[in-house]
Amino acid sequence: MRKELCRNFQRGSCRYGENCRFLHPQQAKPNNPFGFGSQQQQQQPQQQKSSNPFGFVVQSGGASSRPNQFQPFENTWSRTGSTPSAAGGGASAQQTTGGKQTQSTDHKCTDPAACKRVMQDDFKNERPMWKLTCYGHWKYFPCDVTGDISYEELRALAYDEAKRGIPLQSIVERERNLQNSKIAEFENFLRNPYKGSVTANQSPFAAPTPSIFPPTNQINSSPPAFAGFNQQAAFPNTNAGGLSSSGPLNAFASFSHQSNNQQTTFPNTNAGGVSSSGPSNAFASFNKQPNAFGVNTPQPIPTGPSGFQTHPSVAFKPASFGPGPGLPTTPQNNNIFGRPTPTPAPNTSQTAFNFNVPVASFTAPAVDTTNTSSGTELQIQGDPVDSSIWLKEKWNPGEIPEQAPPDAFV
Amino acid sequence: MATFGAAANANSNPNKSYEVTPSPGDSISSLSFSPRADILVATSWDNHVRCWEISRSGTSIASAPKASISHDQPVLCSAWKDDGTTVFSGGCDKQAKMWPLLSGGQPVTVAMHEGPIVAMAWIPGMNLLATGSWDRTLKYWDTRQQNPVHTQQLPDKCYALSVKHPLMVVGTADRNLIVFNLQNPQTEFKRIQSPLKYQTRCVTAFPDQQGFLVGSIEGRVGVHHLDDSQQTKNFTFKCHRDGNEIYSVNSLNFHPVHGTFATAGSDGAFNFWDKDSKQRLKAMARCNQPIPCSSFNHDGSIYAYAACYDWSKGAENHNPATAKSSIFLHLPQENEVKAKPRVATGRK
Repeated sequence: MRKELCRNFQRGSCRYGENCRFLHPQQAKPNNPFGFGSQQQQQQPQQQKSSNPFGFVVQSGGASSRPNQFQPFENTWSRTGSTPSAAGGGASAQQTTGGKQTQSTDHKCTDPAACKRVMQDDFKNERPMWKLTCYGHWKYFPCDVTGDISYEELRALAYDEAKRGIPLQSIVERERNLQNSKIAEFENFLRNPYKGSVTANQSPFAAPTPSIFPPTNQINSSPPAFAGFNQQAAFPNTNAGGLSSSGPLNAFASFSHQSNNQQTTFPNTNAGGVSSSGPSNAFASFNKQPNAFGVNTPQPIPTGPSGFQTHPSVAFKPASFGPGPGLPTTPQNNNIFGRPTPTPAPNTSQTAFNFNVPVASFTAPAVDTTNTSSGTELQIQGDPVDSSIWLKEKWNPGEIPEQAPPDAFV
Repeated sequence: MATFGAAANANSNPNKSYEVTPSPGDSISSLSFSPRADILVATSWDNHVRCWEISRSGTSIASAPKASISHDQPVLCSAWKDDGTTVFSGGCDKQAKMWPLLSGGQPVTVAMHEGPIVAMAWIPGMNLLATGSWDRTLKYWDTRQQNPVHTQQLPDKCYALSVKHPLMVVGTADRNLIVFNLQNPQTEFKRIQSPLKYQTRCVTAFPDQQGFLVGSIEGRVGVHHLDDSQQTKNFTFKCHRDGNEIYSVNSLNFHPVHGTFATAGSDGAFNFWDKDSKQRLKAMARCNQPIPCSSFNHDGSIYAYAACYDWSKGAENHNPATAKSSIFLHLPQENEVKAKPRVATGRK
């Protein structure tokens, strides 16, 4: 068997498996000269510039074969921080346990410079056309930038505004502002991906960080361990994009506590976002308005057929924005995207319907949902950062608090 | 410019697919085929739900409009009941309607949310309708009752939903993907963050329930297996890119027979792929409009896709006066959808 490491296996999927003629290290190599552990991080080479147009990252036999050599955008940093070596010796620099990286391995961003390279690369080469998106630089790991807005959300908002008589130009303007603030957010993030305090999940201090909502609300239950991920400080953006708990007003009240905010254009984010503040307040009320984009007047269409009928083709008259006969009065909230009213026990069955069927087919134990209790309270942290951060001798990247130390420590 | 019209037509339907008429007045948000017959339902931003009967003989195909219902606001999603008698539709009016169209009945509201309903699926094993909404909940409805049988809190707004009983996958904002075992629906079976780096656009479960596909706005699809022992088979691949332009993958559909799948994107193209041999089977020509949704019929002999504006470039690219929304039907050839053996690389 060849002594070279199998590149596909490093990426988590080699179709030859046991029969592969390259090495598949099943665990940390004991004779590893660089002292790599079993948690070797490896960048997913998702942006390979090779002749493979589809970037099938694990299969060289599929679309086209990748030459077994140093790939330009591959992560070649090692845990010890040594400079990446070129092909040949590069094999050991990229060692990892196969398959581990495709699962939710702990990613600690132990080499922030390399992770930053990943992000820069993503922003340069893998920037999608749609800008109102979240972003996570490591697969299977939480977002670095939050605040997703989908096409349909933007469109629903635009249609709603049009119905209320807002001219197209203002809608376009509002959308453009939203996009610009999101782009600015990304740029800010890229400049300083590890700004902000320690997150609650990985912190040995077990400190609640400047978070408005309980961490379980935002962070999933898989092992997070992301040192320096500014997950919590990104919450303001999350809130702008979609609030997770009780009413919008409460969330904004506590925003003032948020000093740990990497988003300098924060007000704009909120303005453009889903939540109800900002210049173009789209959620004041629903009024019946004539069709703002009126090209055709709305046609009443018969609701419900009495049988399979053939409609004349004119029945499907093209209608532009809001051809509906009228807007329903909103029952209780003004937010188009709706906020769930805080319910104490949303998961209790309201009827006698029996869910107590034993789990049969899935082998892994069921993960208890942790989000039933969250999302209903607002935690306003008086002292956001655990004071012990100030007592530390040496700060790791990502731990460095942004605020000045409280007077007690000066 | 005498041939201008002809050129425009060629661009709008370069695959020479059959166009279903009359076309809706505004963009199509979802397409669903009946699980039993070739009846196609389309929901649209013009507030209507329409259905056509599709008849196919050999390579020729025809459609006949049958009926329609309307909501008060744009309709975003649809689902058929497994017996092919009833259609569910939901949208910005925060309601889901049940329309027993086969019997000619009137639609009834069967579900309510606090935000627009963007995804829904009928769960055959439990006779329930599952609806996902931007209000961050997933609700299960017995259509005879006013209140949901169960409300499941989601970590964020629901963006996509796929059911292959008893597997259900929900994609939400901020890259959450939650897997449910419908035999135990009150508990999340697994929650992961997407293997893709940007916003989730669509998810679909494998027919064999071993995993799911996830598509994002970054022109990439992730193939994810649920079992820990199969994690090495996970991978992602790029698609729907044009030079430096990266378009989103809007729709993922498995072929009901061959286990291959189709992707459709904002670049106006649809492609057929085989995930087991990791190949693209066929790349179809690009339409001049995005494809926001698509669907196979029950036996995979018809692939319906819509070509209309999906808002991927915002409001400024929306021109209601000139916008055209089309529904096309493509008859997949065997070489487009039949699984291929792995390419031998001659390594050994």
